[in-house]
Amino acid sequence: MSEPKTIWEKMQSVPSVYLQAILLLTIVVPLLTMVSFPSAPTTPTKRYYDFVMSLPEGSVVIFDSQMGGFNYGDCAPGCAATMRLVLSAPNKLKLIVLFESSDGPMFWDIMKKDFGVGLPPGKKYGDDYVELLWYTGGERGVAAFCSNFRSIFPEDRYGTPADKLPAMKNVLSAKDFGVVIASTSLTSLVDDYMRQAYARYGTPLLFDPAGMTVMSVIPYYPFAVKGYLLGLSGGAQLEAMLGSTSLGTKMGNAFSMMSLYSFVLAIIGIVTGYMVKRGRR
Amino acid sequence: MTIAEIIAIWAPIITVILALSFVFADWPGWRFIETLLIGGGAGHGVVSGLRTIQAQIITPISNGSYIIIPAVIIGVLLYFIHMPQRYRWIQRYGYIWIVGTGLGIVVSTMLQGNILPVIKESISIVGPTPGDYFNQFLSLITFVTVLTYFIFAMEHKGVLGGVARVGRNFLMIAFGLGFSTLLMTYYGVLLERIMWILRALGFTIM
Repeated sequence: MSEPKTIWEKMQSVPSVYLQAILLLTIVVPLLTMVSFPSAPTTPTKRYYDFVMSLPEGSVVIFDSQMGGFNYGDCAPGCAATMRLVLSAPNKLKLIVLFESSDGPMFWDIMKKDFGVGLPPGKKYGDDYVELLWYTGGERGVAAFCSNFRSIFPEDRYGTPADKLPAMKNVLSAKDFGVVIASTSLTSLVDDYMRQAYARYGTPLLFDPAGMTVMSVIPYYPFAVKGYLLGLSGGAQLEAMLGSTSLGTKMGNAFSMMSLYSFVLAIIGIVTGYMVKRGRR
Repeated sequence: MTIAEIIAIWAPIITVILALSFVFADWPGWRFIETLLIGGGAGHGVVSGLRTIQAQIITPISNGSYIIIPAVIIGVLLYFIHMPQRYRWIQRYGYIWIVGTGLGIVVSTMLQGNILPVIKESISIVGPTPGDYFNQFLSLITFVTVLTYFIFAMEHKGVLGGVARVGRNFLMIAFGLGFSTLLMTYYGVLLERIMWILRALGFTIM
């Protein structure tokens, strides 16, 4: 390859290791310093928040977590913020968490520890909050628990029978769900809930999808899907709306800086590419 | 700090750093991590499967839920694919159940759950803000033009060709958006891992 001559060619031949080192700095600096970016909630985030707040008193919120090793960084801030939102909402909501895979409970525990989420004062496990196990079979599993909740979840993850958990007292099918919230990077899970919960029972849906899944959610927004959190940044926005600034906000700041850096690089790449091509003509 | 605690902190840090080293070079350290990931993933899959069998089959049956036994038998039929050739036909009965129930629950709700909601979202021009009106209008235009692009019964010429070209541009925007959202997820995962390393090394996330 010939030596770069113009400024544009020199820019194109900058070793990628420098660019990657700067990318690392864009992550580390916001995490370790007070650098912060404004985080205005988007309309889907506001609707997500408003919908939970407007649920009738005592409604049951089903939270399906597909959070695992692959999507933890993207989904965990939204899961933490949602848990805070539901358990602190004045309309006395009951949160029932269930999982899509067997490692779900483990990652849920990690999320609670990392983000410092727990039961707020006055809330009690069993009365206001329940953690179940995981279901199997994909859409068949969703269809099964939407029609008969107890058949798939006869007990919680600690082995307590559903009959002894007040939060699950009248939860027999999807008709009894106030809303289903799913945190997922599976595009198929969005369709599963659309078909089995929304189409069959009219259950409203909210999503906390990983960034890569949001394109499967948007076609159903805002009628069937009442709101959604766009990955990590959506979780940070919801956290800011709740007035707390924990790990999600810091991650949101780092994410904004990474995104800004990538955006600038993309623009520079397009301009230099165009200029080099023009210079060769 | 005990040796176990030191290993618990440093083993993940080293594996993450080795995994990220692929950005700079393909070297034995990276290949070790690649192999470790595949082996670890297989091991995790086996353990997850065993836990699922224990939680979803053994425990319910031992608690008296004998109703799931037929389903277990149907599931076991699938393993006949690993049997000698003359017994393999038996696994088809397992697949018949899976495909049949899968199609049954999907097809019966697809119209109301997928097709109609998307059409409704695309053609309804409602919303509390002017931005919503604009978004819905844009969705309608996208919906019509992209559908037009997939009309193959007529040659894409004249008005049809023009509309189809607009649809093709919308498709390209969607593919670009899909790539960028994928990048978002990767960034989120990278960010969380680096944050985890910083915390493990004793840094305070401010």
